Amino acid sequence: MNDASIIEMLWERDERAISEMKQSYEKLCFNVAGSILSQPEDREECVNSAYMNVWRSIPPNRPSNLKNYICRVVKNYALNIIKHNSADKRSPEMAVSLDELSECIPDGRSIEDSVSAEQLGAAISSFLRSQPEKYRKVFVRRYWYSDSVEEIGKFYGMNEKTVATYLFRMRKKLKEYLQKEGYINE
Amino acid sequence: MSDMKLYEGINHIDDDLIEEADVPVRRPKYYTFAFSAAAVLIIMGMTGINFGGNGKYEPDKHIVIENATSATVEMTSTVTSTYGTKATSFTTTSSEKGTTAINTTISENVQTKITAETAVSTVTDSVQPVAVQSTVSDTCIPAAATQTKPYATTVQTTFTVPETVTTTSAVKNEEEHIDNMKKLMSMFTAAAMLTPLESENTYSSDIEYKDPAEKYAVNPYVYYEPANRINPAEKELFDKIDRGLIDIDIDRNGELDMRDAMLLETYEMWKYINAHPEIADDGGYSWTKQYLNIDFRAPSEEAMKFLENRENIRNKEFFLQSRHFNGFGVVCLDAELIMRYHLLNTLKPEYFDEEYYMDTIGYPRIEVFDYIYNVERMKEKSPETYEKYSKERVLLGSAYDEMLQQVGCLSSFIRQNNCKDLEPLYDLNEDGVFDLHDCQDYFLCELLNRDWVAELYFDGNRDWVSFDELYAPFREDEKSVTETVYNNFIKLEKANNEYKKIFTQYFSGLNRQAMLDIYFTNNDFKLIYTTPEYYTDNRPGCENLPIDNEDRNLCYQVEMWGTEHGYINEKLKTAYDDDAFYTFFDEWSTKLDNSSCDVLDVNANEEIDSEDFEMLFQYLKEVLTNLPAEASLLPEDVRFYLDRGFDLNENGISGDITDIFAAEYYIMSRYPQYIGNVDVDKAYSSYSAAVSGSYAVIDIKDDAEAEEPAVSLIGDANCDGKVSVSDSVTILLHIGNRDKYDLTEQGKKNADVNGDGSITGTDAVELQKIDANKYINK
Repeated sequence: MNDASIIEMLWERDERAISEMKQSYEKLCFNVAGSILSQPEDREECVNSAYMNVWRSIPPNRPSNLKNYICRVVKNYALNIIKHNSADKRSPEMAVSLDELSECIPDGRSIEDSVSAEQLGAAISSFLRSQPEKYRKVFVRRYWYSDSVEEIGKFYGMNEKTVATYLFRMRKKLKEYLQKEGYINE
Repeated sequence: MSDMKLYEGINHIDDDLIEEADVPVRRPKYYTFAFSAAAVLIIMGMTGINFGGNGKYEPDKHIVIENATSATVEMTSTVTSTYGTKATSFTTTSSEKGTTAINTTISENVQTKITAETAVSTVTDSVQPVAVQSTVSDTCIPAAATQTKPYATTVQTTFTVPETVTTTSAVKNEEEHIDNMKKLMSMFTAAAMLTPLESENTYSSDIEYKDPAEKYAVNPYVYYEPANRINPAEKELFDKIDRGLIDIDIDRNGELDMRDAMLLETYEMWKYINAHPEIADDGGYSWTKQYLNIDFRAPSEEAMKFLENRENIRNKEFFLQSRHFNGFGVVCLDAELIMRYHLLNTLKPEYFDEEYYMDTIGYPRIEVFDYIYNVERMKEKSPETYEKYSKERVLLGSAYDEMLQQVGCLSSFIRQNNCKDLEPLYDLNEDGVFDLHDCQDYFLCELLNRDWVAELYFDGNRDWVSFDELYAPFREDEKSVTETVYNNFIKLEKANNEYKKIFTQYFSGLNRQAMLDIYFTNNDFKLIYTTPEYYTDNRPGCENLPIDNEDRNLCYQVEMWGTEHGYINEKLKTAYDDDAFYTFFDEWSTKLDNSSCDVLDVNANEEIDSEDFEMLFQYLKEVLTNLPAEASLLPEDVRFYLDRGFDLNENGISGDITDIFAAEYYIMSRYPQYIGNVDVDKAYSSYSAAVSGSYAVIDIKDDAEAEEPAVSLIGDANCDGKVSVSDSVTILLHIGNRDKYDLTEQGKKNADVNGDGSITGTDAVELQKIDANKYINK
């Protein structure tokens, strides 16, 4: 079933939409959740909550790209779980891609408190647009779709080491960009 | 949790970027489009499709395109600067039908922009945009030539996304439309079949290996890259590395780090010495014996394959020729480049930790880096361990030493890139300024902070002596001042901790060196800095400090620094700034190209030739060695002219280093035939003979009552009926030695160019300006 049909079903409050979503995107959702959350039970909770959120938010929303919409919701839940766990001193362990991203921030520094996630997203979008297509695609696959280096290599027909090198360079460039644009605390 | 915030930010990136990443990467190869286009054209001929009345391929008018949604234009902006040409590619997309104007801002960290232009590199996507144009407008150009500021420009790209309608001329009915679409499909299928697949080998086909050093060489035999700064060629290579055009992932683990440099250095050294065992017999390279018969081990088969098959980044043949290296001297140029790249860009304390390299180099964890001191000691303590590990120690240890050398060379750059927060703490004596006294104090405090301070001879016996022993003769008030400084030193050292691993090698000498470098980066050099008096003026008793102790001697270091930087001469302390030089040179030489100005005709023989070049070169040597005019090997008038009337950059100092370099560089670039084996003595003697007729016969008139002549031609000091740079030289000679080079009364009258009643150097300079303008205006 295509996305448009699933969205129509959601608008018609047809509960089969949930199972259709699961069928189409469950693997992706667990993939995304797994890139942020290390505990299986957290992932499970995250993905189920995300389905509920999608059910509740469509309608009134009518996303143009259901796949991206679901991924975003999953990510938001996963990040909330991380925050919650950290606040309770529970399992602050993060998944690999989060660790990698810490390279984008100089040691002992952090993102400016006053910068919202939306503002940061706009800045990162602007940065990505200034990069070569291959590089930005690899970056988005890794840190948005949470693909592994191996998966990215297969998806784009690239050598895994080349993918890793692209990611390394992009992290370095993003670090410079964030510093230059003043998104990092002094 | 700062990385979480970053992750949240990434979660909010624009949808189109996410969607874009969900389709495989296009292959924006020129040949892809060319092959497709060729195939279309071939099949057009075969099938007889006529897309338009004029027979031309006009996609916006004649091809049916269904579901066309967007057009993408890939552009390349090229900024040409004093550092060469840098191209930036960017993509502009529009899904709006009709004409769209999109602004894209690009910026480059270039010194001075000379030109900027854009060009369409490829046009892609579902429809062919038409009327693609681009215009460039500057938004920021460096205010001063000597400042490094990013150059930014806005590129406005306009293009039209065509309507998806079928024109009546090409499609008359539904059948014909379907038939044409089928044929069109077969064409693109054929084009796709003709399009070669992208190579899997990612480290050869896309890489642009060309050492730009040649571009910056004066000629094929003269090239120099100072190790203590980033050089233009090196900077270009760094940029290429950043843009992925040069692959420096030597160990093939996907990470670019210092391990790559270490592996390459180790491999190249090992390979070369085993191929040239004779080098180990050379007295100067006896240490290389340690490499003989040692097995090199790469971390993986792929790394080994890469090491064996990689292309050189630096042009070793060029360096052999231009820097007069022996073969051994150019072995590790690439490793050196990679080391410098990482030290300046991704400096990490772990680079100085031997364990960091173990996985890559694959050697055991044992005092790897102290091989110089410990090999022999270990041999005594544990022959078995020595036998087992000494070879590995040697391999990695040498590479590590090379890295430390580069740290030393680049310490000021490393400091400025990484340790800016320390600079406010440098004013150790709290006098409100950071100066050499603070550097000296830092040195003293380092001594104070140690149990032993110096290796000195007492009554013929060598011994370590404590600071207290040395400090005892000092006055009490001196001691208290130093204690204040000492407290500040401790603060600085605490702040220094983060970088301590990097900068405290070899007695923290690099900390002190970095302070010196930073000071001199921002301040002129003065000869007084090389005298002990400068450091003892305010502090009697300091002359007893061990400031003259070999390489820990601050004065010595300053002097060496001055020598290295060409500041040993008072005249040259006007500072030769490489970047400013090229800015000046480009403008000045362009003017000169368009004129017939003979300002470079140093010997006034009415030609710019090899003699001028050699004389300029000789002059430079004389200035550098403080050779007084009376001892000059140059003809007196030439020396005089260069001393007083050769201010090409109009900074008020004649014959300074910029003037000389500009003149030499100009001659070398415009008249390369003159560079070579010139017999300087012969040139001078022929020159002297040539000018004797012009200047030796001086008509001296003692008749005070002789009638004062009127001005016949302003500036015509030598009364030859014309105004040229020869008149300027004549005036300068006259000023320098009125007895020997007196002017005729008519000449004196003509020589007062500015009409102030006297003949001075200003008149000569005015003449040069007139001379230059005369030709420029022509």
